[in-house]
Amino acid sequence: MADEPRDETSEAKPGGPAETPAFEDVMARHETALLRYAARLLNNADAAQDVVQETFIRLHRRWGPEGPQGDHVLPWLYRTAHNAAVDFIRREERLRKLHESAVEEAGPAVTLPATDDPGERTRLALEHMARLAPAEREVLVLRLQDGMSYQEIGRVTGRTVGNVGCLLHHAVRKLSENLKRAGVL
Amino acid sequence: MKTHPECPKVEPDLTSYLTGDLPAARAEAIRGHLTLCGSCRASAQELATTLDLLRGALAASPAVPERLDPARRAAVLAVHPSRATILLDIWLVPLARAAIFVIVPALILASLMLPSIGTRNAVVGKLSDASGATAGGSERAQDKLEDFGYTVGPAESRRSHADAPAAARERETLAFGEGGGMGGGPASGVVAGKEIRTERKEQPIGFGLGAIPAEPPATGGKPALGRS
Repeated sequence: MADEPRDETSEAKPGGPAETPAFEDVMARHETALLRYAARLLNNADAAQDVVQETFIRLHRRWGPEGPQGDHVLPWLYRTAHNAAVDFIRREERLRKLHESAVEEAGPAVTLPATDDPGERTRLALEHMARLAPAEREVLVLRLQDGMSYQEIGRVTGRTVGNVGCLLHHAVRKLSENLKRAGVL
Repeated sequence: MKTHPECPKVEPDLTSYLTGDLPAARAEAIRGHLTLCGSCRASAQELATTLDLLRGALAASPAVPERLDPARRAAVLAVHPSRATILLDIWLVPLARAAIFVIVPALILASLMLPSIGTRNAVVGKLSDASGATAGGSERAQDKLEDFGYTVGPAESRRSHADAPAAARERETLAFGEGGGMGGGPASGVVAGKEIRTERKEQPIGFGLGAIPAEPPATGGKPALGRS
């Protein structure tokens, strides 16, 4: 596929054998953020690999003049990863429930005493975040981890700005109450 | 702790206030409320602590891989843009767009033309009916005028009702195209020297421009109208 190198500005003209270098650049630039996003959303690192692989396969298939270009690539990647993650969750509903029940069984936040250890607090925070609904986790990750604005989150998730703010507040409020009960706060 | 009537409206905006996602005016209002309301201030402090904890936890997450594993990366790079995608992007999409640019104006044009055609046909029909009626009515009107002592047109152009069949037969012997044009078309003609005679159909004459005289008046076209 890759016969000649292409610079960043040439990524808008794929479709021939020369698109791979630019595509690989895009992939290398965004895969870490997408993997973190998908892993947080799915609570599953292997599933995140599947979702991100599927996302880049879809991008590669559309890599051409009619496909996403320039500044539109990243929102397109997040939106596609979101859709792939939703598909994954639907397909793996039973496994997801098993995973959640496993997390609940291991839920130390309810039973363990409060701790001032930063590592433990981080671990507990992530565990409690993993118990949130996928939509709540998603807005948390997109806002706090990826630094997206409400508008950008809305474009990725298909929600309105008001809905994003409401969902984010409920997620933080719920997490705050759970962490307080667990003695973390 | 004392609560404020504004608290229920402030509380849903606290997270957006803390993340800096509120409009400036709303953020200022929240800030002002927090200076007055200890309950909301405590709530905001709790949310801020949670947000800080989450930011730190999400930033330092060793369990999340940073790269696709090599096998998956190879699978991604092995994918070529599908022929279907190329066909869709390069040919079908532009063709569909071009078709839209042609079809939509054509439909608009057709929607504008069809009613006018229908209306024109309707008008033609009505006018033709009217001209047919006028053709008979004109003769009756001329008869009425003559009853009142007026002379309508040259005498040789006037015929009595009794002469009408004979006049019709006389006209029908004329060649095609000479009799009545579109409206009352000739019902007979001469082909190869042989007279062809058909039943004359009573059809309207012309487009309703009044009754077209079967024979032009002999006096320079304008019929005389005066007392005899």
